[in-house]
Amino acid sequence: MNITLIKVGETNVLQIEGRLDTTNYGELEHHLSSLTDNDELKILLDLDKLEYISSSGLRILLMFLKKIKATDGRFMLCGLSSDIREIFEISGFINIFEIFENQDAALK
Amino acid sequence: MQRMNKLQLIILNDVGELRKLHIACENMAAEWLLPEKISMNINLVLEEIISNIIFYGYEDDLEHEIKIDFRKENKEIIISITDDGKAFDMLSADVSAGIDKPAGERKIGGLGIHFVKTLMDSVEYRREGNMNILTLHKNI
Repeated sequence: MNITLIKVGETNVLQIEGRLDTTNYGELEHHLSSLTDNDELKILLDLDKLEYISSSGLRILLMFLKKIKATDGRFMLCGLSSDIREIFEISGFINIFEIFENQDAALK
Repeated sequence: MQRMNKLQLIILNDVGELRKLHIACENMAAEWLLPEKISMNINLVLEEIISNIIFYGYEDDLEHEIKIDFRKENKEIIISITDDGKAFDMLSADVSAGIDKPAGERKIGGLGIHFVKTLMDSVEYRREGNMNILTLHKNI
């Protein structure tokens, strides 16, 4: 998995590429903690290049969604492929996250 | 060329071993010409089952083998997972993924089992001696 951080205005855009699973979810947790620890609470995860996610990856997303919802920040997702979207639908995550088609739509 | 209709993978009870699942699922998809989505769903279900065995299945710190047998029969992929951990029937486990709950009430526990039940066409569990045997069926 590769994670790239780009700041667009006040929003921290994290691009996640590859597989997010039980073997590497700690890397994403580390990146997200670095942001929230510094009060960077506007975060967009671009999942356009995400190929695979398991419940370990979903757990991290839920953890930070809850953490940021308790503040005045925003935690958004975009770029879900149809296969990844189906995993979000099956898990019910599709209804609890703010999900956009792409970065442009999310940052509007 | 004659294609094999059986594949086997043995992994140890170590989280790093889960990487082998991805490679095995890619090999299976290539060998049996499976769509990417089926291979991804099988990979996901196996990761959930096997990480569960690695994290909760053993009461000692010893090395254990988890055996995964893949079989192709007509329009079906059948996968058996055999481990010598403590008896655990995930099909009757009292866990709810709570998938219709709002974010604040969501817990992640139970999601792995929910994936197994939802993404496979049928799942059977049996205990033989000191072995758990979980058999998954996926229509192709």
